[in-house]
Amino acid sequence: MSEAGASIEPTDDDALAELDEPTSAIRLSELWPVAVGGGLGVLARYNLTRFRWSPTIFPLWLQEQWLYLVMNSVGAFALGLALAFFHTHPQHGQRLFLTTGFLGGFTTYGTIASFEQHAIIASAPSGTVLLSLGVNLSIGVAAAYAGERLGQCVFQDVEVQS
Amino acid sequence: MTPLYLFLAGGLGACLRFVIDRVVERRVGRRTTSGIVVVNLLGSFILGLVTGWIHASAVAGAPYLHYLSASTMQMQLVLSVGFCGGFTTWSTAMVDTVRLGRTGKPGLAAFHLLGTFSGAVLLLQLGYLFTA
Repeated sequence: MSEAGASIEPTDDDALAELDEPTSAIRLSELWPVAVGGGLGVLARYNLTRFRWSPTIFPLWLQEQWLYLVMNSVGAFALGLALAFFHTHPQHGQRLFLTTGFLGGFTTYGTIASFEQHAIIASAPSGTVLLSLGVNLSIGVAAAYAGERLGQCVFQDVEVQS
Repeated sequence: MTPLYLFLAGGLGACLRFVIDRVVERRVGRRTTSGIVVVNLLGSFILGLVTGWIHASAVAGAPYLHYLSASTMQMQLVLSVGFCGGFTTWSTAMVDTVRLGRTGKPGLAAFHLLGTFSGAVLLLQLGYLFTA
């Protein structure tokens, strides 16, 4: 990371707060990119989760958990990357479509929580519940961090050079 | 028609998430992670309600073939995968955790991550018990 990139960092959240216009009223022009992006994200996730290997080589419950883990991590990575991109390219409508809409609809929180809940109901060994929880949360955070750092290196340095 | 319904339900869920996030931010007066926490907790509770309904109807329908009509199963899919999936979000929760950690609040980041998740599992169970 260059010095210019490093100097951006402390003011990161202030700049984002400005970009997000958090206290402005909701406009109709903001809602439709979110709606279309969210619908497309849900469709992409639904079609990916229908993909199945043969259950003899890869147990079905493991396939489901693994797929959601991969999709959520890819989504978290992509969101970190996208937010870093839109930090220097403030196109509000496209940002809402891609981040709040598509990536928000593509990733899902409830399904991961329901995997843990099912394991608890089925009285799975608490070790496996804790393991899957730890794997999900740590890989999710690591992916988001990696995406954001990579995006800051790539996009914010590009902006400095141009 | 299922893809169309999934698209519409997902779009509605994403819009509701956006609106709730913005309303919470307006109330707090600055950018905050609380809006998405509220959305994920509420969405998990609704998913628990839907999951309980799915399980209850599957158990009730087990002795009879074709007990569940196709439209009922479609409704369940659209509500869980479409609406709850579009409403709740994993990516923003993870990025918010990273941001809290990087702005010098690692304790708050850990609480945000683990507190939201355990709250979501508990609320899911609560919703499940209502309808199962």
